Amino acid sequence: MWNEVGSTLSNSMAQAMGRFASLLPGILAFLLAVVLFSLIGWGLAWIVRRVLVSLHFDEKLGRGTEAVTEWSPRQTPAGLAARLVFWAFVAIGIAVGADAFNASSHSAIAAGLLAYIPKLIGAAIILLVGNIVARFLSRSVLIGAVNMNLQYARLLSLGVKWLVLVMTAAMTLDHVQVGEQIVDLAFGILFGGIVLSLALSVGLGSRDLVSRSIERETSRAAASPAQEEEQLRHF
Amino acid sequence: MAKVEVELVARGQSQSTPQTELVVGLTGLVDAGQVRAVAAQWNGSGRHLTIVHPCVPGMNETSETPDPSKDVRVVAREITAVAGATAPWLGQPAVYAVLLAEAESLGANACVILNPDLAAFTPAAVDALVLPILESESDLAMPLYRAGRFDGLLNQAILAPVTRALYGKRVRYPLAQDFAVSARFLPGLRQAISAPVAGQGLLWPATEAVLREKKVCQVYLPVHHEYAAAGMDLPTLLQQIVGPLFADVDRNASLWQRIRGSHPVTESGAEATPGDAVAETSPDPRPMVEAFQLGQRNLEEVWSLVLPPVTLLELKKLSRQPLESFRMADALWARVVFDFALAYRLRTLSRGHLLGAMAPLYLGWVGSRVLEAESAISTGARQEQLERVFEQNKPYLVQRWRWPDRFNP
Repeated sequence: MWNEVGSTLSNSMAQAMGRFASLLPGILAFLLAVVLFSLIGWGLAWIVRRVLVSLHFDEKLGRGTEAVTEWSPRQTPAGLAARLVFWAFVAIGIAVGADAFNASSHSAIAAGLLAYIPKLIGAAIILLVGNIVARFLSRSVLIGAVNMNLQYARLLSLGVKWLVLVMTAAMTLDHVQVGEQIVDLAFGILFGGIVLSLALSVGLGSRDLVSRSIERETSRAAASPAQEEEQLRHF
Repeated sequence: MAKVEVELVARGQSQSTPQTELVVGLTGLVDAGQVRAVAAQWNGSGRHLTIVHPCVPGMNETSETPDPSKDVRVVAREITAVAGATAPWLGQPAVYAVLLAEAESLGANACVILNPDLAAFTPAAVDALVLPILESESDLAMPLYRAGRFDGLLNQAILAPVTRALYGKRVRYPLAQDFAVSARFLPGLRQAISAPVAGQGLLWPATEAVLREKKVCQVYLPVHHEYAAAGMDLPTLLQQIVGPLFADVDRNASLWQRIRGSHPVTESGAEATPGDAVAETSPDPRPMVEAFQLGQRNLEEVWSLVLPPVTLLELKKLSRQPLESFRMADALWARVVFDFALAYRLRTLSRGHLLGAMAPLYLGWVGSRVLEAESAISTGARQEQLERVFEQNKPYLVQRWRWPDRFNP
């Protein structure tokens, strides 16, 4: 009996190892494709950056430059273009590698998992863009509200940030088809709740504060707008 | 009365280009009738004078063949950029380029650029600007306006001190809209304003003169310009004026890091007597101080991306001062300006946000200046103190510029 148990176990182990060994060429092909395309992307990104810098691409964009780099201030347009080229080739490498892995594995599970990779990439892009947008918008609202002398500038800024983040999370989950209707409902309730809360807190809870703030601004503006401008000339 | 000849349409070059001694360029859209009226009263003293002003393309006016015997000509040049200018009082690079090119093509001995509000478009003011160019061999004549304590605050706070500290020239109005240029300096200035990078900014004549080692002088002008930025909100103003200054600082970094100290600039003309000054009432400093305090409470996180901890601490202490003792130290303000210039270069955050976040700090400086106005020290002496402090803090900027990571907050 023990011989039969041992024989069964060793057969199972041999099947598992054989299955794993059959996947190895696909894994190797995937890794090779990703590394190769990453190297190509790195080289092309370097070339693109050098060419754009030599053509004074940033300066020639003029005012358009500011619109582009407002969203990602640490990068010049040439730098952004180079990064875009690099990550595009990395994405192509992943796609090619996944295709090579699928061709060599003949497994339905592997095929299903590989079909899911583009959704994951899309979800990652949505998350990244959403975070950038949330950070930019919240900072814009904060600075704008402070310069308008609004005492509740930070509250507004946080509200905007979380609205965008919640929307981003809902879009991401919807894209990867997780939850689906449940996520849609939850997002609707949460989003509507945030908006309603903001409206109630501003309209009811802090109406005295808002009315005092508005009165102060109105009286300051009405008191001597021309006189104040005449007294102070910034340029 | 000087003979005036009018050439109303200029599509391309004139059919003939008579020699002209002096070109007067107006940097924005003007009332052509008013220009001709002033030109007709001009006492040219035998000089050939050409007045050039931009017009919107498509103006349907007749042209006349120019007569070389006329003393004064008025020329309209079609410039597309002038029609879309949101702040014509700032002057557009395309307009400057056309005016300077016109002066160069006419072989003028000097070119006078004037604000389109025509306040300086008088024989006395033009002669005052041109005299140092023609007689003292200066290359650039900048104006000295008769200004009150609360006039040109951005100029007092940022433009003049930064220009003095970085470029070593004590020019009081580096972004003046009225100035004169010699024939020697014309090609260099035109080249500077025509470069692709210049299209994003403003023309800084004093800076360009320093870059090209040209002689600069200042002339007292009995001119009062209306406050053209009325109704414009402060963050927009900072973006339109301080942004291009910081861009200019970034562009010329290799030059100003080598300059040490500063030199006075020759002044000429009659300075306004104290009796001529308009009596001023001090504005209420409370809104400015409150704006600064609101900024300190809400924007500290944003400021922490730009300013080092020491500066943030000083600003926090300042925000807790009562109104009577609210004084922003000159050294603190100088370091703040330099840190923001560096952040503009490093793109630590978006440039629009950067200049918007600077507004409460600037208002804090203005509030402090208003509260100091009661002291006996004159405006000129106080400004001299501030600019000297900017000079003394230049090594701070140079260190941070060269090794930004070392001081990263």
